[in-house]
Amino acid sequence: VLWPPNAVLTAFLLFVPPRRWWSVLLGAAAAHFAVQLQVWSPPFVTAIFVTNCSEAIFAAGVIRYLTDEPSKFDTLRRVSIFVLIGGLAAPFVSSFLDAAVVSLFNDERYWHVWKMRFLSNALAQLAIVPAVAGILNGSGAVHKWPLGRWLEAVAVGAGFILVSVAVSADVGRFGLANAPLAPYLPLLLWTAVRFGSAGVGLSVLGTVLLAVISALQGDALFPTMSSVDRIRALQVFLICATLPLMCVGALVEERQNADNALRSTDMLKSSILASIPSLVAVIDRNGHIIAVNESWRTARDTGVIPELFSGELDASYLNVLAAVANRRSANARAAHDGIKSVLDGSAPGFTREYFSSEGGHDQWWMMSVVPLKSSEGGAVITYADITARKHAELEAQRSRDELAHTTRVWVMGELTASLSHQLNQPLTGIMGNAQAGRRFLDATPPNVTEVQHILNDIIADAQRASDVTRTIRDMLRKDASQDEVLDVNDVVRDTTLLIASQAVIRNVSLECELAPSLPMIRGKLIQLRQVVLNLTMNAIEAISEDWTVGPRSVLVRTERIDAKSVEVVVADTGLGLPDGGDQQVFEPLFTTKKTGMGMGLPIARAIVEAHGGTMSADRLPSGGTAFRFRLPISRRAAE
Amino acid sequence: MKAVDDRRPAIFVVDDDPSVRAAIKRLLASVGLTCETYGTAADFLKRAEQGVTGCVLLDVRMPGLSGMDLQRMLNAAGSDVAIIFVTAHADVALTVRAMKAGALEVLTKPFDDQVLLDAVHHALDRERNRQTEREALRAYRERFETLTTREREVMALVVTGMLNKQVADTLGTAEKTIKAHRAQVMHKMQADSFAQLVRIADRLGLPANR
Repeated sequence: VLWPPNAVLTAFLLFVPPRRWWSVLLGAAAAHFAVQLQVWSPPFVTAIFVTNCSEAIFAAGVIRYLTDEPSKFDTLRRVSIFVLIGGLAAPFVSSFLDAAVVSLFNDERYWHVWKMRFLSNALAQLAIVPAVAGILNGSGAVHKWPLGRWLEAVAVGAGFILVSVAVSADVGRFGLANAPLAPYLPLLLWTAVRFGSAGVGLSVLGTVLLAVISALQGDALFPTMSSVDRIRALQVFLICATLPLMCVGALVEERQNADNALRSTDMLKSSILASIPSLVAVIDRNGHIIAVNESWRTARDTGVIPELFSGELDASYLNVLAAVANRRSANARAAHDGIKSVLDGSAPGFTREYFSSEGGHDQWWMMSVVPLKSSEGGAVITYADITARKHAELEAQRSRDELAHTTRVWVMGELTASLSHQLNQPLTGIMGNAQAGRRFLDATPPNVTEVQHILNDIIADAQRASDVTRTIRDMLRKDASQDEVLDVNDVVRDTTLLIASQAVIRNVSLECELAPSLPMIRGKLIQLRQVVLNLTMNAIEAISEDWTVGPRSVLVRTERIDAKSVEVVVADTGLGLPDGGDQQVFEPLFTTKKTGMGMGLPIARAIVEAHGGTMSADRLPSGGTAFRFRLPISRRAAE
Repeated sequence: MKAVDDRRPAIFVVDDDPSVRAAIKRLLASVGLTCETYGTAADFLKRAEQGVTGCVLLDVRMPGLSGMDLQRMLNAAGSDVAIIFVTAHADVALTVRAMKAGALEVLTKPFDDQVLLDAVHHALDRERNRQTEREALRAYRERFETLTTREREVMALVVTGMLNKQVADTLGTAEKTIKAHRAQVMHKMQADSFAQLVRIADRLGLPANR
């Protein structure tokens, strides 16, 4: 009825990689010869072995070539390939060789042998390979079967026995004589649906055994047929039943696997979503909430964010926001507009950081809206509590400002001589002019015209002195100012006001080359002044007192670099930095000065970087050093 | 610097601060003095090459050449123009250095008008005195040129305190002749007394010529 060795060999070849097939074939040969040589002549046994192997090698080789997982029978594609190649094509082809060998050695009729061989080989392949594969693949899984599944398996087995008993006992009474295999069908279908291709294989195997027993009992099956015809009918029935059943089993398994995968993906997603401390909601294209995570639900219930009030499922979140916005909240208005822009596709995404003191909680939130990449549209809204981060940022900024202030005060202290000189000049002018004025008034007749000129000059000098004192006061003040739109040239000019005398006192010529009409930048005036002051002061001090070879000059240049940034360069003709100093100078506590703190440049760089800029130091080929920093051009000012 | 001798003393102001320059200029104008003003030491140096006399009100700290640099260069060129330093911060060391190099005064900014004017007047007076002396010397020289060789020899000897007789012995002539020469010398040199003749000879450096 069925010839198992080929099928078993096929199953093993599917499991073993081709480079180790020789060992399997060797084992098969050993078993084959051990059994067959007792009955048949060696040439015949050898020839049969070759034909048997040809079937297995053909089936396994082609299946391996066509599928990625030859030993699995869990998708329709894999099962179809197996059924067509291993179940039909391989037995079909190899049976020609088989029949030739048998008819040659045993003098049997060729086509009779071929038919017999084909049917029994095909049935064996269909029943045994999936069964063996199922046992090999699933032996681990079987241990984990719940009790119900065990009971079900036992029930199926019992069903097969009952049916076969019923069939053999019942002949003639219920008219099963002419369709004795029909009762097996429901059981086969059951196994296909519940136990997959492996189950089909095993149950077909069982059916064959039971049916063969019945068939051999004489008239239990097809009593009107000869025994050869009975067997052939049995084979044809089982082959025809197995083909669709295997496919059904594979389909069911495939579907189940897909379901499982989907379920685990869903579980993964929902547990990820639940684990996020941020508040997450998914909305459809109209703004209706489709899903929210646990954090969102909690926040909504406690009313932490006003924008979340009544974020019920199916409610339009846009309407909720619009209602809140109308009542009081600018944050809700911004959120509403942001979501809307993402939903209608006018923005690729939306992010906003804002402060909220709703419900007595001072909190910083970052709201972000990301569009859903599905044809239905929609978006994912996230509210993340960034209070801790913001506090840390503000704290960092505060300490940076503190440090900047400290170094600023230090620098101003260093500049005392320069500043007093800077103030003394206008004071001298005022004093001299005033005294001259008194004399002109005392003269007879008083020279009033000259006195008027004198008063104008006095006013100008007083203005100059007051500019200096105001700038000094600014520099000494703790800076809590906001960013403002600035002209870098003004920053340089302010700084020159403070430091020009320092250059004079140290006998250094200080020159400015300011680019006409620089684009504006955004920043803190005082801090940027501090940067320029620091660099200029370093440059002046880099030219030592006894440096008499070559020029003693410091050049401050402003320039527009590209569409995005302006640059300030402070170049000196001093001795230059030591080797590697162009990096070290920015490290805290590095100093080449006798009274240096080593904080000026790190602070200056930190200030520039806080303004979104960069700072670097270059050694000039002519000797001396150039410090340069770039600041981004303010987009708002450019508009 | 012979050409200098013909110049009237002038006042120069060298300060990098235009406001300070204007104030000083006005102060001087209020007492009827005029001045030339310069923004840098280099500018004034160019002017000084043509010869200057009088006084310079000079700022110590200036971009480029400093006031002290300028003083050094003027000294090196043999100029005897009076220098009054005006500085925003005069420490002792600076003052000593400036005075040693021949500065007349070191004033601190802001300055008192009277102090400044006094210093200028003082400088001008000194310059005027020097000029008077220079003119007198020139007159002496001119007169000396009119003497004959023998008269010069006689003058050179008598101012050393030699008696006529001794002079006659030295020159190998009669005492009488010497007497006549001597009267001629007194007359030509316009000396009212012998003492004055000695002083004139001293100014002309006569004894040293011996």
